[in-house]
Amino acid sequence: MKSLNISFEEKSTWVSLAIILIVYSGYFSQVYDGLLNGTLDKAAVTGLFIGAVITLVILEIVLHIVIAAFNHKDADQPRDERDRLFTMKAGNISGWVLGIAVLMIAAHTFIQDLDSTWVANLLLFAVFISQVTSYILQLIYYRRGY
Amino acid sequence: MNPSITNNVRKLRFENGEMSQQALADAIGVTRQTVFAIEKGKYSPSLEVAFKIAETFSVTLDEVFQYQGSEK
Repeated sequence: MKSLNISFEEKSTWVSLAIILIVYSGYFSQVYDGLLNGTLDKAAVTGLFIGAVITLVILEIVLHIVIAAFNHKDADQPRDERDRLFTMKAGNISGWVLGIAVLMIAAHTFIQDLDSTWVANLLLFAVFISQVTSYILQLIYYRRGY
Repeated sequence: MNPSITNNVRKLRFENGEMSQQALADAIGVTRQTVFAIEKGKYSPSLEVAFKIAETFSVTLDEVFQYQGSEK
């Protein structure tokens, strides 16, 4: 099957976006409810976090093996200048997103005395939003051109 | 996307023995999808890649890429 005009890097970005959205939306909804209702303690949240990281890594490996198996010719090609440029441009904007989010969390922490589990998860959420922004921007550049 | 830069890459490929996008991509060190994006005007390559394209077709740079002027 001819792989249309979607490069391996673009497919990889779609896969990574789907994985991070599925894994971490599940994680954050569980943690948010648990912390708000007091049904999750620090150890339980840590367990959920480790579980989410392991799930993410396993899904990334397995799904990248699958897309590489179906696109082995494209997968063998190194990233080219377009891939690197899109990653860099998206990273520049997502870096700002991360910075602003961290500043907001810091300000919120100074004003309101937050528990360390809340702070850790807010920081994790900032990383999540930043990474999702990066993936979405890369996909926009691939689809619309740059 | 930079519509102020147009190119003749597709035309040059066909004039050069109907060279495939993959063959051109291999010659200039990018992916086939990047050649496709260049042809569609969705990506303006670096100067290095632009010169490699011209070199591959044995033409000058302005025979491959044309600057249509700044959009105001």
